[in-house]
Amino acid sequence: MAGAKNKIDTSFLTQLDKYTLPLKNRVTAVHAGNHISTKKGAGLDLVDHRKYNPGDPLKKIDWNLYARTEKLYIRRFEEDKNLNMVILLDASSSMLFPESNPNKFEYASTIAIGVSYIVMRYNDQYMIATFADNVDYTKAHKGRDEFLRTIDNLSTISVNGKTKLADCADVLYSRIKSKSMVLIISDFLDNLDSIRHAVYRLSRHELILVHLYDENEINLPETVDGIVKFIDSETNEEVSISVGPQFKKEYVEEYGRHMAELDKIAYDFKIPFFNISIKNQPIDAVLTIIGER
Amino acid sequence: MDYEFPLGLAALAGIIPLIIVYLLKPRPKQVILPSLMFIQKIGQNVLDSRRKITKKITDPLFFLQLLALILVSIAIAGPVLDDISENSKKVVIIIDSSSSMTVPDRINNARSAAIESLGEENTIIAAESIPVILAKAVDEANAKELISSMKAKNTPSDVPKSILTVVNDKENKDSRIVVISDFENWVGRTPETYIKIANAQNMQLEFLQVGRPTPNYAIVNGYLKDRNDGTYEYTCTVKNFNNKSAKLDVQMESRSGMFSTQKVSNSISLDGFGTQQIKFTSIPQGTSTVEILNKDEVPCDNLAYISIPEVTPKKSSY
Repeated sequence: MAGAKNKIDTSFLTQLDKYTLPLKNRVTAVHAGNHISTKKGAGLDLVDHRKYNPGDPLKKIDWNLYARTEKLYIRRFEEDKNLNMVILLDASSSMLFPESNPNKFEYASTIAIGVSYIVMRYNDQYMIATFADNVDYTKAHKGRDEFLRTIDNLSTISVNGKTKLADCADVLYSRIKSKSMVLIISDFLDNLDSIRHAVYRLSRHELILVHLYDENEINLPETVDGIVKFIDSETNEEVSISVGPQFKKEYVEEYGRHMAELDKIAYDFKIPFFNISIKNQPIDAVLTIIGER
Repeated sequence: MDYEFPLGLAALAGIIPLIIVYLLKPRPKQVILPSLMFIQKIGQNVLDSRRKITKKITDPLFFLQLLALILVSIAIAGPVLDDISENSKKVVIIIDSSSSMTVPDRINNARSAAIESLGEENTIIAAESIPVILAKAVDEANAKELISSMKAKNTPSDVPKSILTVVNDKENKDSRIVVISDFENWVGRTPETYIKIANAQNMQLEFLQVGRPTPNYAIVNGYLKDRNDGTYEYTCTVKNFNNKSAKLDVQMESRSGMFSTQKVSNSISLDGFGTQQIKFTSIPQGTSTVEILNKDEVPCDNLAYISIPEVTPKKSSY
């Protein structure tokens, strides 16, 4: 792809043809589609009856029931709705780690594309919004042409800024009107309160948290030893420190504590939380997320 | 602590460049990390103390090198270990008994100093022209009595010889040797050399100087030479024991039964601690004296006697 900054692997997409996306909660999207919804309407599955009120369409009256009970009842059907998939993709500077390919953003984009592909195949709506300091929000897409355009956009997007998940969730809260499936793909290197707030704001949707990490991020490589100047990839803040085995141990413990807190947040809100190494194959990551692995 | 070669301690100055070398740490590696927040969190907990340590030197190699440097410096300096206690049981006291000690209060001061230095087992030596052992291994009371009765004599002293005598006596091992003198006339190696010799024999050698500098001029040497004409030539060495220069009048007086009494005077100027030879010629047979006429505190060494047998011509008949 000409001028592509981010390399997105799409070679595995055809392997996803046989998979579909299961939904735990009934969707409440506006558009009619293939998925069951909480709304009653023009579906095929009968849900229940209610008493006829003047003004109700006569064609909805269950005349068989009237013959047995001599009372007018309206048949109510479950309305079929479209799935609205919102993928929130972390595009902060920390996602550019590691310097080798793929970095976390490229891997996250590949996963997002994989999930979108499954959604697109069922003619459902999907939207990939990138967030860092601000949210880059576009309207929901549908269809193959839009899908290719989405890949193109992701491969050229500039990745920078600081992760501000809470602010992004506040912005998206008012934007996502219908109950949707919201997939947050991030390294979650943000304040835990900010993450909790974001999860709380989006918890009315079917929320999935996908945490991406690189092994070198958790276990500092052996080459990182002695006096080391650490530079934050988001803020360029510098910390010079003497690195030894004890420091590395404390660092792993601190990282582990952060992950445990993330896990707890997911547990509190009863939402799925996936820890995925970017060394995994993207297809495995996608299948893990959609619950096939 | 005393050192044999205190300048060796200057090697300790090597610590400064060593510290500088270790403080000049290499440029740290730069690692870009997205999870700096965890490093900062560690910093909030325990890193503060560690940061302070990192400003100091934590390399164990530095401490090894520092220790090696200190040990080498001390080894060069050569510390004198006082393993002989000050209150050693065995004490050898060498008291200068030369004529210079006849100066008022010198011998008294020497006695007091000697009594203060006494131990449980004391050996008293009078440093005369030869060392005279006055008492050996006596208790404090007897030693005190002996010291109190000591007097200076009109004799030269050889303190170094006395020291060597004591040091070479194996019975004096682990002893404390106290040398009490006015140290006006020291013939031998430097006092430091004798201290080293004593220390090598596990003895502690102390020097106690008594008396204040006083005017003292002396005839320290002299010899007579026959001129084969019936007269003699006398050459003597006069020494000024003061640190100030002095003009001395030296007079020779000859008394003989055969000749009339004659007096010859000579004046010399001596710098501080200077010596000069004076020659008197035509000394007749009989008894003559050479005397420094200037008055000083030690008069006994101002006079030298010359005795030449008188050979009177005898008449004989053949």
